Amino acid sequence: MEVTFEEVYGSFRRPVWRLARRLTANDEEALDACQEIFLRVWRGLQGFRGEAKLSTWVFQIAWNYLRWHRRRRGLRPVVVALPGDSDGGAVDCLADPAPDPERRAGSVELVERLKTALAELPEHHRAIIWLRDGEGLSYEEIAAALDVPIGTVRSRLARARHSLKRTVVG
Amino acid sequence: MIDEATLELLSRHLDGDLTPSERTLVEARLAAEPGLAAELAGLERVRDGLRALAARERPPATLDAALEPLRHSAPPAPGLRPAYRWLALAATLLIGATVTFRVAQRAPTTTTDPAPPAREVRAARDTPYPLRPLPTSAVPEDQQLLGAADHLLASPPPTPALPEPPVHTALGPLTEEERQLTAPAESEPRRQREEPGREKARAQARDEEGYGAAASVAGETPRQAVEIARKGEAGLASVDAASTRLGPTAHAESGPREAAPQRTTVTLTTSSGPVVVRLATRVVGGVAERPVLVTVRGGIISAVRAASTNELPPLPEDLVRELTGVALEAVADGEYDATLRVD
Repeated sequence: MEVTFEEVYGSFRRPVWRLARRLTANDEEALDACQEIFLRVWRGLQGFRGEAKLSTWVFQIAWNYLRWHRRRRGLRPVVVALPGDSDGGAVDCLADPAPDPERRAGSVELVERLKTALAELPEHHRAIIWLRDGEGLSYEEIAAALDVPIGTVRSRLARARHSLKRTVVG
Repeated sequence: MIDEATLELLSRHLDGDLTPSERTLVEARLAAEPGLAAELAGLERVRDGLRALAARERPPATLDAALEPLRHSAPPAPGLRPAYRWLALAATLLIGATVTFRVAQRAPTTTTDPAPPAREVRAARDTPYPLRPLPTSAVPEDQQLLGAADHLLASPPPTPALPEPPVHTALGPLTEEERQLTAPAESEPRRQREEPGREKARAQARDEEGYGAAASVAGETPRQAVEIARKGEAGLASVDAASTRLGPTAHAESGPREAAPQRTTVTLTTSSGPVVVRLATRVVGGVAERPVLVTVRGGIISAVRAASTNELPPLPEDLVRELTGVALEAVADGEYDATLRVD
C-alpha cells in the first residue's frame, strides 16, 4: 500500500489535532503532541503494510503517544472555557444548520459545556466518545485503535454519552 | 433510572448498531416509555454537539510549519519489527558473549605486544586458528598485512639465501611463547626431547623425496621460504615463510602419523620494505627449492604454480591453497618469478 506522508498528513492533521486537544491540557501541549505523533507516523509509514485501515493505524499511534504523554506528565487536562475561546485562533464557523440566532447561540453554549464536560470524563471514555461522535470511527476501528474489545467500546461509549448528557443537557 | 443494559441499547440504537430484533424491541420501548425517549433525545444532542465541536476545531498554522521538513522528505526505510528487534538484540548479545568467552579461553596468558595494530588485513580464507593482532611498531602502516592469524608468530632469523633485512625486525618484539616456538636455540632442543629421532627421520625423508638440498639451508628451524622476484627485476621481492611444523618428515618417523597444524608467518619483502602476512598453513608435502610463478591480482595472490621449466613433481596442493588468496596490498599486480623453498 503506497501512501505518502503528505497524504496522511493532509487527511489526519485535523483529526489528530482534535484528539490531541481532547487528551491534553492546552493548545501548546496538543501542538507538541501532534508533532511527536506525526513524526512517529512519518517514521513508520514505510512499514505500514495496509493490514489495518490507515485511520486505525494513525489513531493507534496517536492514542499510544497521548496516553504515554499523560502518564509521563501526570497531567489531568483542565479546560477553562473562556469567552471567545478560539482554540488557537483558527476557528471554523460552527457547523450548525439552524438559522435561528438564539438557537445558534444555544448550540455554541452547548458545545462549550460539552468541552468542559468532556475533560472531566475518564481518559478511555473520553477517547472512545470522541473517536465515535467527533471523528466518526466505527466500533471496530475504535476497538483496534485503542486495543480494547469491541464490547468494551460499546459499554464505555454508552456510559460516556449518558454522563455527558446528564452533565450538559440535564 | 435507566439500567446500563438499556443505556447501551440506546447508544447502539443511536449508531444503528442494533440487530433487527433489538431494534424492534428498543423502538417498542421508546414508544411506551417517555423517559427512555427523552434519554435518547439527550444522547442525540450530545452527539450533535460533539460533531459541532469537531467541525470548529482546526490545528494552528504553526503545526504545518513545524512539520514542513517532514512533509518534504522521504520516510526512512522500515526497520525490524519490534518482536524481531528483541530477537536480534538477544542474538547479538549471545554471539558477543560467546565470542568473548572463546577469545578469553584462547588468549595467551603472556604477551608483550606493545600496541594494537593500526591496520589489519586478513588472508582471504578461513582459518581454524584464533586471530591475534600483529605487532606493528616496526612495520610501516601502509605495508602491514594480517593473514589468518595464530598466536605462534614465527620470526625466523635471516638466512644466507635471503638478501633482504631480517624479518623479525618487521614483526616487532616477540612474546615469550613466540620466542620459544621460533628461536632455534630454544625450540629445537625441546622438540628433540619430545620427539627423539625425528630430525634423523626428517633428513631421511628429504633424501627419499629428492630434496636433500634443502638441508643445507634448513638450519635447526623448520621453515619454508618463497623468494619472489618480479619478472625481469631480480631481487624485488621475496617471501619467507617460517613454519613451526616439521613438514613431510613427520610421516617418516613412526609409521602413519597425523600432520600437526602448520602455522606460518610469511614475510614478503619488496623494494619498499617488508610486509608481513600471517597465515595458517597445513603443508603435508614438501619441496626443497624450486622456481614457481606467483600471480598477484587485486592485491591478492591469485595463483601459485610451478614454473614451466620445472620438471620436479607438482607443488604440494595444501601449500598452494594456503598461499592462494593471501592479501598482499603492498605488492603490485602482476606475475612474479619466485623461488619456493622448504627446509
